[in-house]
Amino acid sequence: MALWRIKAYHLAGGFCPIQEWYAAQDIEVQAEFDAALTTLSATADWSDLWQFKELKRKHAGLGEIRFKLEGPPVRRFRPVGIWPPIVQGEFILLLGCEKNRNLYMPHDAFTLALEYKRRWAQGEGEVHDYT
Amino acid sequence: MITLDDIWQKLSNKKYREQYALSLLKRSVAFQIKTLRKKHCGSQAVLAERSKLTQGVVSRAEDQEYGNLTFNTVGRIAAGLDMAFIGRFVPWSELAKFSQSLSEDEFLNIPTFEEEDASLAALVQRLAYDSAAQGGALLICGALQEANEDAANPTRRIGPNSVLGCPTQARGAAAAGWGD
Repeated sequence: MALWRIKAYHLAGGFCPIQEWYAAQDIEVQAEFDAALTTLSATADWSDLWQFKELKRKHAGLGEIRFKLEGPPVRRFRPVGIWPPIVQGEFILLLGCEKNRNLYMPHDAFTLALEYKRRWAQGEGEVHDYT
Repeated sequence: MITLDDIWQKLSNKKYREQYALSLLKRSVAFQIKTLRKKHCGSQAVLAERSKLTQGVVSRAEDQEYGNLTFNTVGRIAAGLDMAFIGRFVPWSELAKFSQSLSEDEFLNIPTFEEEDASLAALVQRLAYDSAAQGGALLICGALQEANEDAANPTRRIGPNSVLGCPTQARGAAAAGWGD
């Protein structure tokens, strides 16, 4: 059994940013993301994994999942979630984003993710299993 | 929680399942190597030495994004861990089940040959006692006798061509589930 449960944040109106992002991706990106989540869910300790990075300073409170799709060109992705986890063993995905050199798409991904996190902390929206 | 149905629905897209299987293959092998290395060797340097590889190769083998490992490298790492690695073709439903149940706990329980040999010897002894209590099967009794001699003299080793009833064969039988 998986050691982590992956969840997705839904805004108050029901809109789910991570699912919207996922649906807009190429099928190869979707498959790569799902495979990355499969091995992450199977790993107890994420602290020494390249596939996951805790964000610091102005983006503290978030963690990004890192995966890439071989090219050419190689594409890099950084879906973002709440870190450290609110409930042990549960990772809540907030939104998805793509990294191109030092640029992120959407460009304000981390600010937006922090906003979603703030809303969730205030009791706005819901969290459901990510499927 | 992701269900088998969720996975199966996604796998119905050919392009998706091809990419997913490829990605999971490279990730799950790297994931297993890292999990097993941490338990059995500690550092990458130790596994590298036991596998007769460089630490850089072990590091790359643990990189889930790498995906260009050769059979030779995986085989050497398996040897360094004193375990077997078998690649095999499976139906998609197996992949779905593998995905859903993947957990490092499962791999932490894989014994080395020595650990497995010791536990199989214990199993053979237990089966022999059970069997003897029920009238006894000659094969198992023979195995028990040999196992006892083995225990008395740990350096004694019986080869694969020895007579029926040698501990090595009985353990093999137990490993194959014949003792059930």
